Amino acid sequence: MPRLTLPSPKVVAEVIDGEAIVLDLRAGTYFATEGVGSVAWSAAVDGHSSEEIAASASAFYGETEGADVAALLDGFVAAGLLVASEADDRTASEPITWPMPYATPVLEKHDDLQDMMQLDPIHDTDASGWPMPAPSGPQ
Amino acid sequence: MTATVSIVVPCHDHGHLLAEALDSIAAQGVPVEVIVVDDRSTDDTIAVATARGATVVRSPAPGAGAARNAGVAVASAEVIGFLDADDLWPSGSLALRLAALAGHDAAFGAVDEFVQPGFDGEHPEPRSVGPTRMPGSMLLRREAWTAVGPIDESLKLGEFIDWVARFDNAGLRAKGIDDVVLRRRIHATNSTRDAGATAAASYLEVARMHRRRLSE
Repeated sequence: MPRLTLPSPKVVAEVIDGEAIVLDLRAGTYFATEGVGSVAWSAAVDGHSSEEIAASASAFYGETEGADVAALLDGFVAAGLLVASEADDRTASEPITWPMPYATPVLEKHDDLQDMMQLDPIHDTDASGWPMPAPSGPQ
Repeated sequence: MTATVSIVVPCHDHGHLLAEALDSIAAQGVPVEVIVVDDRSTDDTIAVATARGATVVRSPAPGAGAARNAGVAVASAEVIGFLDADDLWPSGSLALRLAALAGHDAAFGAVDEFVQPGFDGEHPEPRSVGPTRMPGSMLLRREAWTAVGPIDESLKLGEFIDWVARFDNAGLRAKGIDDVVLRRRIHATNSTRDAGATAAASYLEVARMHRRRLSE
């Protein structure tokens, strides 16, 4: 079963308090998903396969909800935020804990900061394209 | 002559590049007030700034955000601009943006990058991009600065992105023009091992705060 991995360093992500923020540094866009969506995101990054995650959601909520979660995972891949790999044989470290009540997960895309996110760190960029912070004041 | 624009120039040990930046401001032909904000420089920054008639302010805290805030705090004109000490304004940059500012809260233009002549270290390819909102490419009205508030000095990176996001969230309007108004100099690489993670954390925080304001 394919597992999904973060194509770093192009994409970085963080989940805090049930809100996943996923940043595509090359495109300068960021994505957000909450609740069920952030649990599905965390489960995928943790190493659960998409099939396991969708099956788990189906078992917990019901088939329709499981299909929503499967569609969301496809959305992560379609947006380039996760990459599916058959060769990935990670074992997930955490069981999936779904929130209640259920709310249909949505993947929001924000491109309003795109021009700046793309250009901002150019003065301090290494060969791999990572933005580097100013170590000591304005550059 | 009363200054039309106050220009804040943060500088940390870029005294050797500062003269060129200040000369590019002087060549704009617009009456301006230039405020060089010295961020703990150990080079000739203050001497270069003073020799060119700039007001010199010492930044109270490290970092570009604190330096910009300190500069704006002493600025006297109704329009505010920023130029980093290592960057340049091409001829007409200020006049074009002042014209575009009519009826708007801010104006910005396109950006060209160039490699410092003689710099042969590894560096990204210089880019030419369309209208982009960054400190050196943006002019803003003082009322807009007051409405949005100072730059968040707690952010290590992306602090101006955060400021512009707050500008947008406040319903203010910026006009973009296609003319190149800023030439950014590529002149150094920095390969601090954990810098990538620090940068990513700052950007994620900027995005999270932006989204939070949208939902308020």
